[in-house]
Amino acid sequence: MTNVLDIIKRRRSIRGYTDQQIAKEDLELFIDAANQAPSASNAYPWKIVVVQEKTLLRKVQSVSPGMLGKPAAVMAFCTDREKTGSRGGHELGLMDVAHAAQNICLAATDLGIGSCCIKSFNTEAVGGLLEVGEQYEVCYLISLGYPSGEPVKLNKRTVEEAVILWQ
Amino acid sequence: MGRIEGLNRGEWLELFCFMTSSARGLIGEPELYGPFRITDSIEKIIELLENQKLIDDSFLKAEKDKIREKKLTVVADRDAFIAFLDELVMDFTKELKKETL
Repeated sequence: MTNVLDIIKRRRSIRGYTDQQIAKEDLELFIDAANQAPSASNAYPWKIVVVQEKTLLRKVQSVSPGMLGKPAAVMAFCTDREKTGSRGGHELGLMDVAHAAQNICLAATDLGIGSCCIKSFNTEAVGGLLEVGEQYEVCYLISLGYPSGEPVKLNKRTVEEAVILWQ
Repeated sequence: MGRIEGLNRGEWLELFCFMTSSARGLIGEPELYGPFRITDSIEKIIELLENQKLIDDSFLKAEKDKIREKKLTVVADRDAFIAFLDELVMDFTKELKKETL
């Protein structure tokens, strides 16, 4: 079994992909991983739209400037307005989505599939293309695909740089 | 409707969607994303012109390749990204200097 810390350290934002398709079982595994993430009050105020069809992928990408390369699939997280309508519900919903998205990225890394989380997209335009309806708001995208080339080299900050106070 | 005298209308609409959603999105995004989106647009325009057989230009191809290679310094190295922008400006300016217009 792969060490979880090893997967965490191997995960990178991948912005270049090969043409290889991702198996449906793998995408289902990613959604199952997302479902294991914590959610405030066990509410899970989000759902996912999976896009693999090439023409729709291109259209979604055209209104998502933060999406680079040619991903094999995109998962669009949508918050459920009926569940996030209460006080503070929207922020909690976004936190839940972030937990779930990280699980998807880590599960993808474990299978050798690249991922990139994207916030630079037009919410209304993507929502319209995906026809999610009024109940849902597209809030986060994950592009997925088998990596081509190396990711951008980044220096991750140190433990000391992350800590304000340790008493 | 889909094709006008050899031009694929849908592919141009893709580009314009990219540029308009970039323009809207840049309100509130990090400062360096503006120059990044513009250089990304240049790459996409050159690629589109090539794909639609509208140009066959070694200078533009080289600039497209340079943008593709260096644009992601935006997320890793601010100084390198700015140096890349300076390089692009001078590349295009030197090329323009040769033109009679």
